[in-house]
Parts: sequence; C-alpha cells; structure tokens
Amino acid sequence: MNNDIPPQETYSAPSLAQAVPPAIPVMAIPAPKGIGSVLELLLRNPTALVHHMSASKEASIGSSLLIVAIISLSLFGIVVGSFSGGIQWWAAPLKITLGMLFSTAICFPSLYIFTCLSGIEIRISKLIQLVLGMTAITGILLLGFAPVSWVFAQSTDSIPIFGFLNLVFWAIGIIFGLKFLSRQLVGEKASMLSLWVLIFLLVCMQMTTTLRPIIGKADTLLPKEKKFFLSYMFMK
Amino acid sequence: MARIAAKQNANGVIHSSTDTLFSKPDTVSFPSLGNYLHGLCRADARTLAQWVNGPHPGRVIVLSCLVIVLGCGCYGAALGLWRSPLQACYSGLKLPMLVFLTCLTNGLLNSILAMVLGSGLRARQTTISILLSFAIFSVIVGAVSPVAFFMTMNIPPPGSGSESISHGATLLMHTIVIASAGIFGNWKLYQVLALSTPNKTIAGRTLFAWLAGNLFLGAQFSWILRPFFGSPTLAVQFLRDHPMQGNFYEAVYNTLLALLRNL
Repeated sequence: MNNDIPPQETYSAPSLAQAVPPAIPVMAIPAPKGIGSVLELLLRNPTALVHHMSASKEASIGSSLLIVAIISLSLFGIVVGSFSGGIQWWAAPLKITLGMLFSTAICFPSLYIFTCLSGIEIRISKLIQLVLGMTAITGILLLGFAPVSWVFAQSTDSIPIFGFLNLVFWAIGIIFGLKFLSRQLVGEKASMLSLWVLIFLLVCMQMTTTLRPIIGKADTLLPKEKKFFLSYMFMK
Repeated sequence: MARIAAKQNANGVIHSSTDTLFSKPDTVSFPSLGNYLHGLCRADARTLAQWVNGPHPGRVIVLSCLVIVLGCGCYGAALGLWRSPLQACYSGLKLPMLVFLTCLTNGLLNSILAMVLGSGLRARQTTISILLSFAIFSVIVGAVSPVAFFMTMNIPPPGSGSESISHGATLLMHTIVIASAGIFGNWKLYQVLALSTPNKTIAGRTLFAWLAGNLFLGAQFSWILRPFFGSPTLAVQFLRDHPMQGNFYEAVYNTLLALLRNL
C-alpha cells in the first residue's frame, strides 16, 4: 500500500480573535506618514490620530486632512454638477468645497471660544486639526455617497428630489464629522458644544442658499438676490 | 473580550476557550468549490467569519460571484418565464446584474461606514461579508428555482383570461421567496459581523447602515433594470424605453398619490 497520499490542501484559519483588533495602546500606534495612513487612522482609529495631533508638532496631519477634505468634497461636487452639466461641472465642486471650508473657517473662532468657556484646555493648533478632521470625515462620507448620487443624477430630472437626497447625504456625513469632533471635546459643559453645532449647521444651510444654485441651471454663477435659507428651501 | 479569547495548542491549531461557537478547532478546508458550497449551504457563521478573515479573499470573492450568477440567474429565469421564455433569459441575466451593481456602487460607502462605525473591518472584509450574504441569498433562491419553474409552468399563462389572478399570485410567491431569502442572508451576515466586530451593538449598527444603503440603491437599480417579471400587457424587453427616466421613489410617490385621489 502506498501511504504517500497527498495531503488534502488545508489551512489553519486565523483565529476569530484576530478578526477583532486587540486593544493596542494608542501610544503604540506609529505616527501616520502620508495622506493614506492619516486617512486610515481617521476612519479606523480616530483616537490614535488625535493622540498624534497632540504629540506631533508638525502640521503634516492637518495638511493631509485638508487635502483629503478638498479632494473628496470636489469629487462629490463633480457628481452633483453632473445633474445639470454645463458650468455646473466646475461650479458645483468649487461651491461645495469652498462653501464647506468657508463655513468651517467662519465658525472656528466661536468653536474656540465655546471650547475655552466649557473648561476644555486645548491648543488652537490641535483644534484646527480636529476641525479639519471633522471636515475630512464629512468629505469622505460624501465621497462614499457619490456613486449613489450619480445614479440618481442620471435617472431623475426633479431638482427637489435630487436636492433633498444630497441634503440627506450631507446630513449623514456631517453627523459623523460632528461625532468625531464631539468625542474629542467632551467636557463638563457639553451644552456649549451643542450650541456651536447648531450655529455651524445654520451657517452651512445658509451657505447653500448664498452659493445657489448648486443643483440646477442658472444664468449667473452666484445669485443676485439675497435670501434666508428657510424661505429659499421651503417657501420657494 | 472573553468571548473571543483563544489559545493555540502544540500542533498550532487554534482553540477557543470560552465561547461555544469556538469549541471546535479553527481548521477549515481550503475553500474549493465543493467546500465552499458545503460551507455556504450550512451557513455556519463561524465558517463564514473565517472566510471573511481568511488568507484567500480572492478565491472567496470569485466563488461568491459564481454562486450569485448561478443562483440568481436560475431564479431570475423562473421570474421571467411566466411572461415568455425571452423574458426568462433577460431576467436571468438581470437579477445577478442587480446584485453586482448594488455591491459595486455601494462598495466604497459600505467600507467607509464599516470603518467609521468602529467595526474594525477593512474594505476587503466588508466586500467579502456582503458578497457572502448575497451568496447565501443566491443559494436559497437558486434552490427554490425548480419549484418556481414548476409553479410557473402550471399556472394560467398571459392571455388565458385569468391572467390577473395568476399574475398576482405568482408575484406574491416570488416576493415571499425573495424576502425570506433576504432576511436569512442578512441574519447570517449579522452573525458573521457579531463574530468579526468588537461587540454586537457595533455589528447591529454596521448591518443596519449597510442594509439601508443597499436597499435604497437596490430599489433604484431594480427600477432601472425593470422588467423582471413582465407585465402581461407590455412588450417583452430587456429594459423599458428610457430606463433612466424617473426613479423608484417618484414612482411610489405618484402611485400613492393616485391611490389617495381615487379614495
């Protein structure tokens, strides 16, 4: 009898324990180098990223987050612009990216003041990086929604439906972004942060009205008439 | 983390210490087509979780796609057969297309959601998890497709006079089969996620996020790729004229509006 039967091809599967990453101390995670690793840490282990924000004096994390935010918001903007075509191919990404960054910038001083009033000790440079992290997460989520948005951009002519859909996508993105920010800034007086969130949301909504039309065609790049966002969105 | 505590014996075979799901050695056969189909039919969450986290992602992806093409293809053909054999061919192609288009379009979003929700799953693991749940769905509908063929062959065809009853009855049967297979596939996906993520709350949140996205987009793709079943009063077509005009949600809204007006 020949006992040299070829063994059945088997493998020892990894333990399921390996599926769940063990709790590695934040300090043991190496500092991110490059946009890719910053993005991965932002999504998978934001606490470690925030730790490196505090530990590192370089602005590389902040600039990587800014680049991620600009690229992802621009790509989402291109998809939104594909709904109307024409000048919206470039106007929509420009308006969405600059609008989001400008809203964040004008709300930043109030965030810093409210954070200080809440008794949270934080350096201004770290707060900038946190806000950039929030914008980057929002942008990445919107980038994830971009293929879905494209399908609807190609299959509907209704501006209200497409607009509402993208508003929902933006709301989901901003919820995750704000969640990231609030987790890092939870102090004894979290109500101050809630107030800032409200201000930020109002500014963003007004920005969509100020920069209209982001969806749909228009004769001019920017509107000639001033409007409050509630009257624009609900009483048009 | 006691639930997932594991230890390795002298032979290198990994045993778990606490959870009953881990009571067997973690040695599984290389996922050949036979092993894969056997594992898929048993739908053991532990085996599926090992495939998700195993060293052969490419092979699992290819086999899952193959099962989806065959299972959904057969059931799609059964769906369209009542209308005509040509519609059966079209639907046999379109049902797997629907699954793949949904997976592809939502792939990036599902991976991002899995990461931001703290599941710890990478893009590869997300893709395999979702493909496996669709593969389980496909195995079930594929297994039921002979019954569906039989039923279709034995009900009054279009133009027989009682087509409205048979159309409604067959549609109801397919809805029940598809919904049941979908629920079972997602239940297994939840079990896999519960084993692969830090806790059940995160597993539930991740599944909910994936489901919401896939259902939302899947409904739109099913609208674009219509007809699957084929209305007895409309021509047999691969896609309706202007398939990208309008959307599923507008159609539902308009139908509801029309119903309310007629009340």
